Amino acid sequence: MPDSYGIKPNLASKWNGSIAIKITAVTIWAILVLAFTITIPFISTFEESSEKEHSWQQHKIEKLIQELTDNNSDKQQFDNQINQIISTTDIQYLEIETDSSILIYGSSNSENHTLLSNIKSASTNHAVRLEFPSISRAALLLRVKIGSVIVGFSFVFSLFLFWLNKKIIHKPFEEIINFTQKVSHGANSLRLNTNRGDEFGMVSKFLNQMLDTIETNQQALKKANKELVDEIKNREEALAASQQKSAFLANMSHEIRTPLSSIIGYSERVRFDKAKNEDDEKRMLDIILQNGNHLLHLLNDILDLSKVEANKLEIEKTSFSIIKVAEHARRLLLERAFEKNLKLEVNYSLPIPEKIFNDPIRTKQIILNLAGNAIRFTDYGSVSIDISYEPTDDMLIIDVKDSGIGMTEEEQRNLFKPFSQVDVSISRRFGGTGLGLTISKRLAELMQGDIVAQSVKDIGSRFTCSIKANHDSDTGAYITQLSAKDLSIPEYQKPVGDIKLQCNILLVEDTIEIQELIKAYLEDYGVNIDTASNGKQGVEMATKNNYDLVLMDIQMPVMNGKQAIKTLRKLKYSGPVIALTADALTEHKNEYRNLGFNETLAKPIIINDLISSVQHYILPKLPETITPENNQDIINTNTGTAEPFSKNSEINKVIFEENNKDDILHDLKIKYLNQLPAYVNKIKLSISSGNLQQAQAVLHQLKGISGSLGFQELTNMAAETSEHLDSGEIDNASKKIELIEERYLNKPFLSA
Amino acid sequence: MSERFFRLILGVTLWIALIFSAYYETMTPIYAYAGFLLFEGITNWRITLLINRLRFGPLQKNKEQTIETRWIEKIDSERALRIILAVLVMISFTVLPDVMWFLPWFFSGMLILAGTTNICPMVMFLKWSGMK
Repeated sequence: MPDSYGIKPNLASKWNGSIAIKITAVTIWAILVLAFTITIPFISTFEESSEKEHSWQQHKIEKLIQELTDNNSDKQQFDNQINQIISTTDIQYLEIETDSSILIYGSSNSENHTLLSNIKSASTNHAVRLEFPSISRAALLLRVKIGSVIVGFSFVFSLFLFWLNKKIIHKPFEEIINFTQKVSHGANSLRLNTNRGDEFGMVSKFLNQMLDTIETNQQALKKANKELVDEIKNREEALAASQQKSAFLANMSHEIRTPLSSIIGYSERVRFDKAKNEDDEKRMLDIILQNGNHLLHLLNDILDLSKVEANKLEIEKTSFSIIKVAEHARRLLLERAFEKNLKLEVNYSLPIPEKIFNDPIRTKQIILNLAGNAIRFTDYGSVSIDISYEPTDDMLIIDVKDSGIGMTEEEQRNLFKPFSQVDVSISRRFGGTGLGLTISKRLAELMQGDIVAQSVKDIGSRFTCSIKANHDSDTGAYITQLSAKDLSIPEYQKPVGDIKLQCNILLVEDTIEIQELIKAYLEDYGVNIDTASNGKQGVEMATKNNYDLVLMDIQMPVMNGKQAIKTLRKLKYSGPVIALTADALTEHKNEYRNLGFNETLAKPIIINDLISSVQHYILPKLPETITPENNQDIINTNTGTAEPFSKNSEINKVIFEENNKDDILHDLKIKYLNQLPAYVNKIKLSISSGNLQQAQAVLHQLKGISGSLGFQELTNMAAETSEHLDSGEIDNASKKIELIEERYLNKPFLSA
Repeated sequence: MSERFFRLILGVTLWIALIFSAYYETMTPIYAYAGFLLFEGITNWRITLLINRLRFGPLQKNKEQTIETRWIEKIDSERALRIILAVLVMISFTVLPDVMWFLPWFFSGMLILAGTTNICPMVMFLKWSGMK
């Protein structure tokens, strides 16, 4: 890495490129040039001065010899004087030749003679011969000395200078280089020491500032980049979701058009009497009904999904038996499994809590979704639902296994994503909206659980759903052995004609077809029904006439249902009003309840739901006269088993002792006793709300029916209650009603 | 052997030759030195090249190079350095010994310095002038 930047970790070990070396080299060049520039004139001066010095010394010797000769100095004195002067000068050899003798001082070295002079005095006949060292030789040696010293000194000085430069210049540079090298490798948090007051300190300070700025910019860039990445991801997800929704819509189109084709096609055939016979017509109508129900199921799924996406899916926790829920689900699934010739099993790993606290409707929805899918995607073999309880986690485990087409790992990855179906061709082959699993998973999560899928292509799939049981392990009971009672569930309540709802109902609905349909439904049950086509008309009719119940649409011309209920409640109208609407989301239901509606029924209107609601608000009218026709219906119903009563009780007498004598009325009596709580509740509500007139009316009905069916004691009690009300003795009336409750109520007589 | 190290050897050798010739009053070392440099410069049989060739084998010449170059660009700066050194040393000793006596000493110092620092002003100048 460092080589890519041309940087070595330790520059001191590398001569090349070091700034200390370069500065040293340049400095020594300058020193060398300067030294020789100074030295050259010095050498020249040395030669000249040496020549002058020799001349002066020669002159001095000649003068001394002349003086000594003139003074007739003795030999000893002469020698002393000469030796003294030789020792103080450069004279190496002195020879004095007289007529009689030759005096020699020093030693001759002719090679080094630089001056040889003969002095011949005029007065004395003698000659002087002087020898000095060679000036050129001396100059040469001087040059050698100077040259050697300069070169040697330069070399030594260069070492010192290098050390100095390294310390002063190279080291701070090295610190900066090492610092920048580390920063370039990602150590962005490092900072230089800025204590130095020189240029390096300034560089360090600005480098630190630069890094701070870069870091700030980097953080801003990272943030911007993250936002950009998120945006791209969101866009991609939105695009993918859009594509999935497009595919979903295409599939929905297919899903909706297919049953619609059947509905429209068969409706036309029935309408134009194309059926071959009555059975063929019934078959066509069954198809229409079946496809209509399928469309309703699809719509419910889409509504649930919209709640999932809006996080508005809510669960309503209550205590329930998981076995009853599972058995109910099995009953609903059995027909489909039977049609495909599949074996459907529900297995329980005991012990299982008798009651768990969660949402039973949503639990059943999950089981129906998972097991429904299992049946849908299985052509041969079996589908099993295994129910178990995990006490350590307090989780209820619902394991749905099938031997169907299975899935690959890739297909399983998109399994729980909304709007994503494994394969469009598969969904078209097997049907389904592809929303069930998404909804189920979300439901399981809301119930503090989860759904996990395991699957092998062409082998089968296993969906394990866990939900929180909220079971108290200390006080809660467990089912350790299954009995027939545990497995029994209420039968599906078909609309039967044995109950006559003899009451007056006002239907406020602008759509003529819906008006006619609901009217037809209710008239089958003996309801007198008036219709109004808008809210304003409905308000007028409701206030003028005494209706037992008002059914009111929400979206209507002139005055809509919301405004109408507001007006009614403002006018102190206290009767029950049920909203009929296609907006069946929870928040809408809450809104309607707050406006004053007693209940909300979602369109399309299901006959069972409608009748149940009407029954809830209207007291049923048992047939006052028993005809052979309705007797037959009653006889055909399941007789059931009544619980034992004391022998003296009227119920025991009427139901059991006289049972053999009057078999025809037996079932009717039981049915009446089952409906008795509704009568009593209505009386109590009427009294508590001060509507004594209504209470009297109900008591009157109670007297009539009880008497007709042989409950004389009950008839008398109703009459006494009525008398108390007439005389204003509300407390006594209430006590009498409590007596009725004690003797006749809380006794389950449900025959089926 | 690198040119840098050889320059150090040349500088020290010149220094020793100068001292030797001065003390023993003989010009033989100087003449030998100059002759050696001239030989290397003219023939390009440089010690450094010979040693490197012995150590690493002959140099691979780029035969595909077809770009025409100026005459000066064909001259090796190291060869030129040797010739210039030899000529200047000989001139300083034979033609103007009293005037240019400092020049060999200066060369000696600069060669030693160039050997230690790897910065040779003469080579720098020659390369600046276009030599390779």
